[in-house]
Amino acid sequence: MNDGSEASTALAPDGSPSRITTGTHVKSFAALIVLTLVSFGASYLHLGVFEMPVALAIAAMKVSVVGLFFMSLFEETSSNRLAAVAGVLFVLMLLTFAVADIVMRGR
Amino acid sequence: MSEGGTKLEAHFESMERQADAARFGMWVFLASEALLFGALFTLYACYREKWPHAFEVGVAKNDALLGTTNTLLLITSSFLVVLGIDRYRRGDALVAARLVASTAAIGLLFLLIKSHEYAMHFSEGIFPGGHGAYFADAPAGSAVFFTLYFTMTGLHAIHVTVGMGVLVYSAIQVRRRRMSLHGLEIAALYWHLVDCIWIFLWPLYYLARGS
Repeated sequence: MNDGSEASTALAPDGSPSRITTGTHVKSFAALIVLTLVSFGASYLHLGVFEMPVALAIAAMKVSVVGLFFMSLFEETSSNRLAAVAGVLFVLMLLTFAVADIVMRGR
Repeated sequence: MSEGGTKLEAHFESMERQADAARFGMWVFLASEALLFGALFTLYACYREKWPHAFEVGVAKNDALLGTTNTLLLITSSFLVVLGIDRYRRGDALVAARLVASTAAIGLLFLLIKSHEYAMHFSEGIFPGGHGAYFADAPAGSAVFFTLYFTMTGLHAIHVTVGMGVLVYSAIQVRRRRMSLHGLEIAALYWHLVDCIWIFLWPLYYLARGS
């Protein structure tokens, strides 16, 4: 396994360097596997009302790792980051207002 | 002028500008995909609020081990495709093509496991739309749960299938050195989105069984 230190200097066929090394990708992969196993284990702890928030928080952490290091948002241009953040923000708004409506009905 | 089989279109100043535009276009597309699934996740949240017991029983009915195996498979596939990009960046087209092809192969394994799960549901009398013997004694809301389950996992499986096609094409083009690094990165972005969606589907349909 390469330690990835050369990735920062290695140029792509079309000349673009990357600051995210192979070593970072390996660490990200390890983190994703650990988080998956933690989430699986936590589902047997009978956490009650905390079951869903814990599962979703771990999922959000995993998606952040995939987004930042596998999808390279860490070194992406600001316009591309904006598109990604807008997508997430709009989904959260849709979820929040729709669920708030259901929960608050009749009150 | 061309680079890795990609030609510079007349309306772009440089290959770099063209690659940036393609990448931005992909990110906007991924954001629209997030909204497509976001609407379905919203349905899940609203229906679960209305029928919490049916959803807990429905989740318990799914095989958590198979779902977790599929999660580990997709994460591994995402890792392999970024390794493929790393190798291609260093000019190793052969290994890069093999890594990208392996990613597609894992996608196929994912679909086989998902098909096996669907077959198990059908054998237990669980079909979309609340059809089947299972729903005769199931709690109210079970039909909604399983219809949403088939819809969301089915739509995701369609995305996996499309992603596999994109990856197989990319592997062939990378092997021939006819694809630019940016082209491969954009193909991989789509695959990562498929992974991200499953990362949320997995706890909602396999882990959140309630107490």
